[in-house]
Amino acid sequence: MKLEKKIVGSLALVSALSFVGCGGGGSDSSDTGASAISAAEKKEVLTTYADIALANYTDALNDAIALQSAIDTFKASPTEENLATAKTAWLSARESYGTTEIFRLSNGPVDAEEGWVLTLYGAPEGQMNAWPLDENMIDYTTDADGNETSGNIIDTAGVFTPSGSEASSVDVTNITKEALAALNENGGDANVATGYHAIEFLLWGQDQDYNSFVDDTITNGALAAGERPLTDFTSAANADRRLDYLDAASDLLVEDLNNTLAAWVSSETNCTTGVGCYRGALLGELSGDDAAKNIAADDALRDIFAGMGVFIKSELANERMAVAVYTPSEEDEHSCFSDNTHRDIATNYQGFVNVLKGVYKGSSQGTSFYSKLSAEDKSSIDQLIASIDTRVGTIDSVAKSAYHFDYQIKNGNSNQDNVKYAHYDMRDLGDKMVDVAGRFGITLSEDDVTDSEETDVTK
Amino acid sequence: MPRVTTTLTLTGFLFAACSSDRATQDTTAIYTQDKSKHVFTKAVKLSHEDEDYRILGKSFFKIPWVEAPSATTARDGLGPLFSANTCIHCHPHNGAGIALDKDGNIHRSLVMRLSIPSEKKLNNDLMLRNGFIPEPTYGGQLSFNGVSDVKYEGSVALSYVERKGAFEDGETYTLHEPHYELKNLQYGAIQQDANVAPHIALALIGLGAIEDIAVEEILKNEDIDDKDKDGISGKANWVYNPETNTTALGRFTWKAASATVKHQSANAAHNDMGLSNPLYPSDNCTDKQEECLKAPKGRGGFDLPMERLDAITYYLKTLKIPAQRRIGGFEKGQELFDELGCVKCHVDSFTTEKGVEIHPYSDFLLHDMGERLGDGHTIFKAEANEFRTPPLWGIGLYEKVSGELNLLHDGRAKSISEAILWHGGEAQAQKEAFRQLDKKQRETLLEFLKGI
Repeated sequence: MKLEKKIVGSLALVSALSFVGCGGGGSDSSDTGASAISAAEKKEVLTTYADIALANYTDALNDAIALQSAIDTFKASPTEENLATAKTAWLSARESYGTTEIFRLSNGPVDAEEGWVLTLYGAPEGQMNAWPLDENMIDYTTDADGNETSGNIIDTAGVFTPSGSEASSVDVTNITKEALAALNENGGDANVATGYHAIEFLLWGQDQDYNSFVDDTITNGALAAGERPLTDFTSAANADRRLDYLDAASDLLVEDLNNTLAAWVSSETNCTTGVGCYRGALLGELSGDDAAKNIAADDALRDIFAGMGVFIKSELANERMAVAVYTPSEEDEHSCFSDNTHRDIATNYQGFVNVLKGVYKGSSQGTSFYSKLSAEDKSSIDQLIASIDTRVGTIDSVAKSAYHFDYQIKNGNSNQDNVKYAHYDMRDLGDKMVDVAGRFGITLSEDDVTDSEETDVTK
Repeated sequence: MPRVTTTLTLTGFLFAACSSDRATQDTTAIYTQDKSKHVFTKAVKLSHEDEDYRILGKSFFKIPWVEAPSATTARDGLGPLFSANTCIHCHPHNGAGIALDKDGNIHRSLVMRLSIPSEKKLNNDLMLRNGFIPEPTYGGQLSFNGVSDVKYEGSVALSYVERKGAFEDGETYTLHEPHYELKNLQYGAIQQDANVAPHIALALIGLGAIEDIAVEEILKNEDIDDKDKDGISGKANWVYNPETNTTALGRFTWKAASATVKHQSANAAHNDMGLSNPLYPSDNCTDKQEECLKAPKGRGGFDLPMERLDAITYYLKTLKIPAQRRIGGFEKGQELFDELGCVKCHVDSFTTEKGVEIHPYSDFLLHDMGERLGDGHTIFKAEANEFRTPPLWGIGLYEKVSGELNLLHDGRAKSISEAILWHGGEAQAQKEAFRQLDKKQRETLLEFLKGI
């Protein structure tokens, strides 16, 4: 089937081009005759959004503090039991952080690319959650031939220079928060030294049991994740440095989450420290000198709707699922050391549903974007959600019972098609944000909800 | 140059293709209304399966490659000598490269092509394949970086001398004449008669559509001996395409030295990132660079296997073209553009083989631009002072997309006006005509250019 539309006339008059896709995709926003949404209603739904952010980042911070404390305990007494507890704390911290990712890509405090939001909050996302990461920079890895790599942060005494381009040297005599922050993304986007995934690599080590070129046998098995030996933290060379690294990285993570959470605080507003300032701006409540920071409701909604679309389509469906399926390679699997990718997918997706439906942890947080939609739009969104719920549920249960995600993406695996159709549905759901925005009187095109680059690689 | 007249109707063809046969899909000439810095990254609407393939290509375009040997397997094999570890580094947001980084050092998206004079009888095979003779020690391009045990090749000091000039109405302008000095050469002296040609990364706009223009449509504008005596020649570059092992019309790069998007992608992977691939099977080392030759190789054959090279190509060919922004004095500016004769080389309209009308503002032919602009680099049929007319579509968005505006082959022009004022050779008369416009007319012309 090939459909062709020819539009004659000035292209400048053509906006929000719609397509009739194949089995889904964008559709023309039909005017349901519903009345326009009032300013009060807009503020109401934005308040719900801000309340979910506050609740979710509060949980993410508390879980990161629990991780920090488990790591402190492990550092003081590096036993198998304490290592297992630290790993459990990491997995738990990912649950609450995963649902916050929907607040990305919307010019918000976690990753705004410009303006006062960037200046005030510093866009800590890349320092907390950067991925994929080149683990060779952090610690030794074992390649397919059994050779161990060296020349990394852990085994370098003195000054370390990352590989890549335009890298600058950092003194790593002592592994501190500052040194790790200076090394993060230094010399290239994959030179990740901080955040969840750096901690993950140190706790688990490599999980190289499948890739597209060679079979390695380092950690082999459909239900095997990385298996870093405890001796790496006790008797091996640089054991203390690994513990210091975990300590510093978890402290930095807590600090960054603290700063991000501060933006959403509802009980006070201080645009000098940043506390409550972003929330105030988003809801148009700042006054005096700060009033200039207020974000018009339509601009706020536009950023949020476009960000939600980009997140579920480009970040989750494309970067985290499609690339993994089609490479297929271990390094394209999101949480590849712990094999926790099935949870990343489930929580990232849940975050989208939370914000769309005004829900957190299963209970309503206020008036939702969804509640303002026409019955028709609700129904088509619900169909997609029902389908994705089933598919993501299957990815999750198969990962727990039979095959981790890195096996599910292998050619010939019985669940590979399910992963494929799950991300197709997610793309279609992302395109629905064009319709959601339309209901709020905001014109978005599919271009706006697709493929915006999540990081600025030119910095 | 014989002028092929066309009417300028803005017609966008929109397709939603559902065929799984990627080869027959027309997805090359679809426009985006986006005006953000991400405007050059928008893609046409594809079926889910094709979208997956496009995303795969994008991942190889954007995610950094790493040094071998590594635990990483899909993007292993960077270097041993390289300038950048991702494609996107030299094409920020898919836009044009920048000359200087924020510290005032030369940016990696401005590469140095190296060559030595060719003896017609010698090196025949090299000439047939490369179109030029690489410098014996450093090869065809200076690498700014090396992997762990391999020394980088060298660095470059770039400085500008200000050249003042004035428009006919008295307003003065400043041009920035670049001066390059190779420094810190790690492999000994460079051959005395070597030529160093700085080339900046081009914006990635409408590549699929350019590839879809029929050869004869481009050749229509060729006028090597200026038979119509309008001072404009226009010469096709005929290049060796390693994929087909044939001679083909060059369409891409400053000197029109690449025949297809795939050819150019493979060439850039090899020269800029040190990635071996089916079209350029070796690592980027000369036989005088032992550490480079001995460095660990990526696993499993080519660093960039055919399927992934194809995916990158597909990603690039399915990018949308920015729609024209016809505001202000656009129409009047367009008249000036035609009257001055700019349009003789910057041809405003082509119809692709798929019947899609596009407005690249290029004839994709080589023109002599004069001594002041010449870079000394000869490649295939392109002479030292000859350049392919660069397409102008999207030029008004370059600065937003890349963060800087650096026009011409080495990025020396910081504004469209400066770029025009550097024109010489065949475009001397047009440049002079521009210099004689009054301020209002110049602004109108620039308004038009920023809208295309």
